[in-house]
Amino acid sequence: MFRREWRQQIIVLVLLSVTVAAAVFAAISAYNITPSESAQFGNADRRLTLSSPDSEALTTEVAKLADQYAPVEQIWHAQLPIPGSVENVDLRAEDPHGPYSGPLLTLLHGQYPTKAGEVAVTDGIAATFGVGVGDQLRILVDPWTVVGVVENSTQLDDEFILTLPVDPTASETVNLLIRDHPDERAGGPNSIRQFATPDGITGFSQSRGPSDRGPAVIAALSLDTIALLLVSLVAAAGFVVVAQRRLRQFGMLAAMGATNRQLRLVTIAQGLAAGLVSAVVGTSVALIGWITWSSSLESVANHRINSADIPWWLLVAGIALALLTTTAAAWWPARTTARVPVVTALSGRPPRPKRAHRSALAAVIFFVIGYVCLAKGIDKTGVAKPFPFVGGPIAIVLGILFLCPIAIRALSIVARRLPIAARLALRDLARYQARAAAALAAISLGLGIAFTAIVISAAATPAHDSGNLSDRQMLFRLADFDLIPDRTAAQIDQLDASIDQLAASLGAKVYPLDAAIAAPAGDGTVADPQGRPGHPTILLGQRVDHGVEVSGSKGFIYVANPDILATVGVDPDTIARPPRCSPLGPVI
Amino acid sequence: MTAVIELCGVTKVYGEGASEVHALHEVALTVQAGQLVAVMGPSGSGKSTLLTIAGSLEEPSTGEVFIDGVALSAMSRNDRARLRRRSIGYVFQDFNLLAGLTAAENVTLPLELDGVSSKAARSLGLEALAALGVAEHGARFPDELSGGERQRVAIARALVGERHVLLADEPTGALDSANGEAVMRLLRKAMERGVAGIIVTHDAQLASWADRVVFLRDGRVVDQTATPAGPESLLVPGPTA
Repeated sequence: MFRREWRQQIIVLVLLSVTVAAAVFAAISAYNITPSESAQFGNADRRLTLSSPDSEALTTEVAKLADQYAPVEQIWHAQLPIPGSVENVDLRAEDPHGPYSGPLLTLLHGQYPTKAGEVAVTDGIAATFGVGVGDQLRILVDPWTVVGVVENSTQLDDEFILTLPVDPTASETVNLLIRDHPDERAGGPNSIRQFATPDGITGFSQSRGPSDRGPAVIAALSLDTIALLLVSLVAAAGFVVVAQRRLRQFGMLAAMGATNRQLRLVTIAQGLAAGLVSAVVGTSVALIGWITWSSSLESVANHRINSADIPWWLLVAGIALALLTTTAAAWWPARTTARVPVVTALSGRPPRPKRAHRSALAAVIFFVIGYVCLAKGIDKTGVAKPFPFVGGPIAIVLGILFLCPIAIRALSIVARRLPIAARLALRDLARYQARAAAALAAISLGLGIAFTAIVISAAATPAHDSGNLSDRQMLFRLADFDLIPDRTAAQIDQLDASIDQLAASLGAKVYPLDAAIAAPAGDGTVADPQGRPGHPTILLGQRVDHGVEVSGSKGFIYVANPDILATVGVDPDTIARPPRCSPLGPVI
Repeated sequence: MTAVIELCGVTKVYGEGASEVHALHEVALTVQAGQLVAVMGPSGSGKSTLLTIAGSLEEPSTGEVFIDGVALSAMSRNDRARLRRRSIGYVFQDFNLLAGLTAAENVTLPLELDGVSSKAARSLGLEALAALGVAEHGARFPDELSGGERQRVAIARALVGERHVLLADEPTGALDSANGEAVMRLLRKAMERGVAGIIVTHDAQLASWADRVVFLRDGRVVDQTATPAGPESLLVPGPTA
């Protein structure tokens, strides 16, 4: 096949190889870019976060918990203001050789601190303060000696100063990493429970959930399937052309006594061979590309990537997918050519095309199956189910294939009124429906993908209910909106002054805007993964999974104030106060 | 002698209504083992149709075809395919060798399709090539062979194994006269093994190699030469003086 017809095969092979390479690379990337659960838990199963302004009470409570759950790893946090900035820096006290924090701490240069007065810093902190190994870092009164550069390799934007856990008394927050016994796991995986102790210590317990890699890979494989389907339709059109060109050979084989099955196998073997070659070439290219470029994805992934961490089952799945789609692409031309009468095949004339029967019914059935699969393919939490999510696009593509003969016939009706060039094109389409249907289905699928991308991006743009900033307005967010940090009045005044200064330089007017925050148990304070205390924001959406995740988020809720209401022209008296929202006040 | 190929009242009609064409009309033909029959006639007289029907490549509209005494109409599609693999060999004007296979692979193809092991098929294939004097070309591809060599390979493919029905459609049409004569000599030699053959040709000189010549016109047998008398005819007592 490749000796005699390499010119016909080369385009199909290149197309398939590029698609397989892209598909395998995308799947490996999705697997490795997905944030690791180790970023928060290290090797532990559960993380307790306790906060209290009373560090003595905190120390006492931690000692009790450490006895109860031993072995426990303690990571103490204190927020130190960065001079000249509104940001804080996390002073983190932990044992570099603790039982669970291995993935959370990597030494890049120098050494870990071994005595009081020594610290190691992350590269971001080193850049912010302009220090390196051996330099003095002065934030508090007493300077520290920087003895090493470290990083949290599972979360590269985690910036902190590492000290020895010798003096945690200044810390306000502590993380306790605990390994659960299987029968002691409380709250199920990926759950968060808030608690407050009689001593006024608040906190929450977070259990390690299943890895997000599975859903990410399923999504990547689903997209790969759609891409391979698209290419296999193009390949099918190519196989039809090659099969028709080899019609005399099929006639000769039949004359020598080849059965229909043997004739079909000739074309199917061609698809299989094309799939095998493209799978091997594409996978090899993807692996070389992955090994070459995986490190450049670390900034996107926000964690270190081990280029050798390749899920081999994923490669096998990619290769199997390539073989399956190319074989399926060859199946239809194989079936068609095997049915050509021997004498017709020997003459080399293409058989008279037959009208497709009941294709509209088949198209409707496949469209319905595809719609149902896609509708059921994503559960309430937004996680894709593999089989419906992959089967849906396949059914829709089959629906398009069955719809194409009808579309072609409809087009051929108007052919007689068209100029000769267009007339010939339409008549050829109508005459060679198998080839035309595959090509039209490929084009339809390509347009469908582009259309879907446009619709999704259009849906993602802010609508009237998710933001109403004009092009002359600007919104400054002074915090990560998952958690509004607790700030002192002095810090807020400082922020206000900075904003006023900026607004003055732009000639703009400032409208203060407060996000609505949740008021959990205790004093309502929780901490972010870096241990910074704050209050979680309130999101509009549907509550799922113990109230931790919100699906169908429509954005944040802002607390109305007179300036804002006046700006948007709303009379405060016209706003109904919901009976159960009194702590928040009216919102817009 | 045994009738290997027998066509009884075969009619073949293509198309329907106004486009109906009678390619063959009530044709009867019998070919014995070891006998070579040449079919002659103008273009469109139905020669090739007769050949394809005799070889089970298409079915007659009416009438019956027997190969080795078995009616083709009683056979399933797969049975007919098996019959072609095991008993019937075709030789075409333009050779119809598969370009992607070597000469030896082309010859062994019917055997391999029939499930014979590659090793055994290769041995038989080389034997058939050797019998036609082209064994040394077994590893070459068809486009590396001359026209005469290709046709010898095609004949080897038609005769490989236990095949005993040879159907040749203008087998010398693409060859010069010297090669044409050589091919006819080979076909004639095959008949000595008990093969029954039908050859379609326009060339009267080549037809003279046949035991019998059948003339077709508009799908009907309009004339045929007599089967030459065998030696047994000498035993018939003549008139006494």
